[in-house]
Amino acid sequence: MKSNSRHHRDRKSKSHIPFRLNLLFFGAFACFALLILRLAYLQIVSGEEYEAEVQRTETTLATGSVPRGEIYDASHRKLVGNEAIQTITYTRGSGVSSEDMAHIALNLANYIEMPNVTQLESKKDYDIKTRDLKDFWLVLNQDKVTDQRMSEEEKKLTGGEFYQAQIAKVTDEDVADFSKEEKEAAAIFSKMNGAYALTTINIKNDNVTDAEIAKVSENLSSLPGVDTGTDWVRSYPQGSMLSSILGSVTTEKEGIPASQAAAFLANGYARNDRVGKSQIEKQYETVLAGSKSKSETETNSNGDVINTIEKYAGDKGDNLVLTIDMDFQRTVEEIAREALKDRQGLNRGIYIVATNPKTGAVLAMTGQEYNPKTGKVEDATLATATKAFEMGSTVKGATVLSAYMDGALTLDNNVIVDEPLKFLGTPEINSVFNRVPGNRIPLTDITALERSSNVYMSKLALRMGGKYNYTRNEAVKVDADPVLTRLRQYFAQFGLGASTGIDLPSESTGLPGVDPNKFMYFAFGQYDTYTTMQLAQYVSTIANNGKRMGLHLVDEIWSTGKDGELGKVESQIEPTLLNTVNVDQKYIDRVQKGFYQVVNGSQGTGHKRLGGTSYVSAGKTGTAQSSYYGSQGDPNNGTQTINKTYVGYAPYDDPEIAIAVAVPYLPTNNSNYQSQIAAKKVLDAYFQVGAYANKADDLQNEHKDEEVEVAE
Amino acid sequence: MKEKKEARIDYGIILSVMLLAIISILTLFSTSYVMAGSSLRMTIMQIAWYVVGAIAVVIIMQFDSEQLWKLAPYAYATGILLLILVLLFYDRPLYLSTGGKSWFRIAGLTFQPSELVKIAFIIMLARVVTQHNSDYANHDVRSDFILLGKIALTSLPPMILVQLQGDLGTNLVFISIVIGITLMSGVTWKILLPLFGSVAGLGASLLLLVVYNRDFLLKLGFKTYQFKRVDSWLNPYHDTQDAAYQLMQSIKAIGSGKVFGKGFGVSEVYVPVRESDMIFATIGENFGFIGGAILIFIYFMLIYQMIRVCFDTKNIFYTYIATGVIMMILFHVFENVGMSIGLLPLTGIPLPFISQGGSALLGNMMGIGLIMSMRYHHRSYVFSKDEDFR
Repeated sequence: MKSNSRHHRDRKSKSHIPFRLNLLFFGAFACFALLILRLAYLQIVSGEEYEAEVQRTETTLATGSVPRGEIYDASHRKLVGNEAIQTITYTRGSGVSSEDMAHIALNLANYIEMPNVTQLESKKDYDIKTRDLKDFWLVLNQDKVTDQRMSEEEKKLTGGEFYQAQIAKVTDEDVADFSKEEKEAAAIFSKMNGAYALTTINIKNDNVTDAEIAKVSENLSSLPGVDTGTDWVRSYPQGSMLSSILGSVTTEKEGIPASQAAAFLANGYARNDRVGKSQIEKQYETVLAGSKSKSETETNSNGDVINTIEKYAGDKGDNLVLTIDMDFQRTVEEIAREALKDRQGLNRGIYIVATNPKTGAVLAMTGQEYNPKTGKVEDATLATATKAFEMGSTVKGATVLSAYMDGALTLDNNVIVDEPLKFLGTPEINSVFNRVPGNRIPLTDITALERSSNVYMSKLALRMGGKYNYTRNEAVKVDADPVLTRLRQYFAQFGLGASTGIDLPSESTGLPGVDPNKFMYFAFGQYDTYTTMQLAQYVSTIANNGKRMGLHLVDEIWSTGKDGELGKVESQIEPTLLNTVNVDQKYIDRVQKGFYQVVNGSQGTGHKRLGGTSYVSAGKTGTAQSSYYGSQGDPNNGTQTINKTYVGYAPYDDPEIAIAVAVPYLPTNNSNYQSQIAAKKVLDAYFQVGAYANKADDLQNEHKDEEVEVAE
Repeated sequence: MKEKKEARIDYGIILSVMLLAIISILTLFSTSYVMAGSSLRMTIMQIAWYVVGAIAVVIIMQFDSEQLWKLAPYAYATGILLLILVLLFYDRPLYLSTGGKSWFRIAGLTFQPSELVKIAFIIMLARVVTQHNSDYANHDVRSDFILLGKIALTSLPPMILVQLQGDLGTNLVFISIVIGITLMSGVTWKILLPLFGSVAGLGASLLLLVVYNRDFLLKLGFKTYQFKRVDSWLNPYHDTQDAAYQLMQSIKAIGSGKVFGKGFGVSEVYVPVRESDMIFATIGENFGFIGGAILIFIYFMLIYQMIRVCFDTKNIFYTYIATGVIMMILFHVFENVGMSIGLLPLTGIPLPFISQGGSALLGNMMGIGLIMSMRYHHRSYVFSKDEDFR
């Protein structure tokens, strides 16, 4: 083509170009004018506003966790403590996106090892699930998933549904070839992602090495929000002692229990706060939790943290001092384990509770159970408050006082004949010492207790039903229900079938019997079931002249001193009088006298094994026919077994200790007297006599040492 | 005649470009070294690219219109080839971070061919239109439609390839170049008015579709991220997405600069990609309304002088080239500054001569080279006092 611009002359009358060039020029002018106008509006008219916005800072109150209060025994020896551990923490800034966090996680994975990520596919002990890997992958590939994998319908979804649709598009192949570090990053990311803005969470608080702390510290500038710190975990210097009643604390992952989340949140807890999960830790959560540290975080308009002012350093939770002395407790546990060596038949456990009858303070409590699967004896202390049994004749003191309260028994008219009772169509009821039909032994209330007469108690129940005379083989014509109702009301005054007030969140109050025809059995403890804890409160109430004190495990609440140990007493748990049994002292005296005779009378059922001590004790033995429905026996009809129990207190004149022992499910032909033997040993140990005399000196010396240590 | 000889070099344009170069280097220094605390590399690279650009200006100035005319098809073909190659050998890291297959990486340096293709495209389109106007002496509706067809045939290959790179911003530049040259080509208003009207209508309806019916657009191949930009433009404070955040931060930075600015190197607001597409945020924040207005005025003067050259040289082929270069720079400035201050939606378009980025600067400097060559070669063929464009 030969054409050349030189030859392209437009021969039209007039070119359009000048006009259109001017138009172009005018267009350019208009564009720039528009820009200048807008700029003027932004910078001159609204400049002040934007300046104010840039200068604006925001302060947010952030809270931090404080160590939990510790638990001590009565002699101020630590049962539950806190162990400081090194941690790597992360605080999420307010403007931090998931993608930013994913990059921080990738970076942080270079410096720290996350435990268990390699065991991804194993059933337990893993940190990350495949889902975590997918979440992580999705954050880094958001647009790709949206544009390439989602249908038009799915793109319209919002919020959670949209995310669900997105995550569903992430395939196993996407996350299949994650390197170890990427897996660790995914584990870190899943922890970061659980954090709320401006709250601090632990990325790693288990086995953090010094090297990791050093590496992370050196690279803090490239890890926004990450920091190193210290955290605590619960430690148990005394091993498993009382572990079942001390309870446990939730992990950070478990956080506050979902069922009470609203209440916890309202009280300033964060979702990942560790709280008492069971027993004392749960019961005294408000005391142990302490008050969180508060700091004001000032952020500028970019969301960067520019200043952190600690407003309140926080206060470690207060400490609990238990009523239980560790040495006595340990001795009682040993006694219980010793007693279990004499296991017979289906008997698996022994339960002991010792209290101070005047205050309701628990001095020692233990449940020891033999586990046939492991062949070992295990701690089951909580069972003293949760497992209920027919307690047998030990409850007869309450029966006698019920009859006095009901008017069925008076001081003038308290001689009742013990003779085997036979009513039409029911099994014979007799006392162990009198099984010959027609043999009549007159008893007073005191001798009835001393010799443990079932017939005396049954006749009291009949009298309460209005029946004062007995003819062999007649039909029982007593309306049982009102009798049972009244008996239960009276028994509840002693704590039998009622809450003992023990400061544990899970206490059982026993089960009522179901066959009203057997109402007479109620009178000698073979109808309703009670816990060992209830039994202990019952005997304490009798020892304490009818004043029923609430049982409690925590004696005092102490602040923390400067050295981290106990500071000073914040408050003392005052003994609580739950009720006074509605009966005159002179009647209580009768029962106390009866109990005295059990141990000290020549015909006393406890005389042989509990009498003759340097201290004077009173008590009541118990033997109950029971049915064992557990896995070891006949599951349908139950296996006939015997529960052996003992309640007692000492010294008789001025009781310091009351005790209840239960040994359930012995064979009917047993020769096991461990309920009494263990009870005597516990009392001996308490008074430091007999086999425990030497130990007494040791203990006293130990106490002195301890006190010196505390003073330091 | 002596005067004319001296006027061969357009000192006005040189002055404007030099002012822009100084502003660019200072602003980049402020943004990268002072504010972000990073190395001087970016500033030094920019200076180096200015040197390369100046050399390109001198070289291109040597070509007269005849040479450019002959060169046009080759440059255009080379450009198309580069655009095809970049689709095959694009730089993966940059693709992953930006989503655009627009960069080569050669010896550690990245290079965006589309920036240079713009220049080749301008020359080619100018040639096509000039050729047509020579073949069809008079504009009538029929010949104008043929012209529009030729323009479309020339424009579509590069535009399709650029669209395949996923670079909407660059395509908008191509569209504005086409609009400018079409306007200048003398196509009758009978066609232009309905045409521009329908283009404007199409734009408006696209916008309405973004707001009310995205599914339809998704079917046409639009991407979700493009909607986000419209969302954040229409409602920056409502939207919490990244794009809106960028815009909000930019507006805050510029607004808080007020009349006189906060001073050199002072940054109180974090703006993502400040050094490239969001460079105006630094100018607005550091130098305030005065600084921003002066910069816009410099651009205006540059464009004024380019138009001036057209009037002075009265060469049709040159005028079309100049129109293309003017439209390219005008659109870049208007869109970039406009998006920084919330006037227009966000697009990945740099501020000419100021933003960091070698290929873009080289492309713009080549454009300046073309304009400079107009006056430089003008004298050699001025032999008549014709008042009309030839």
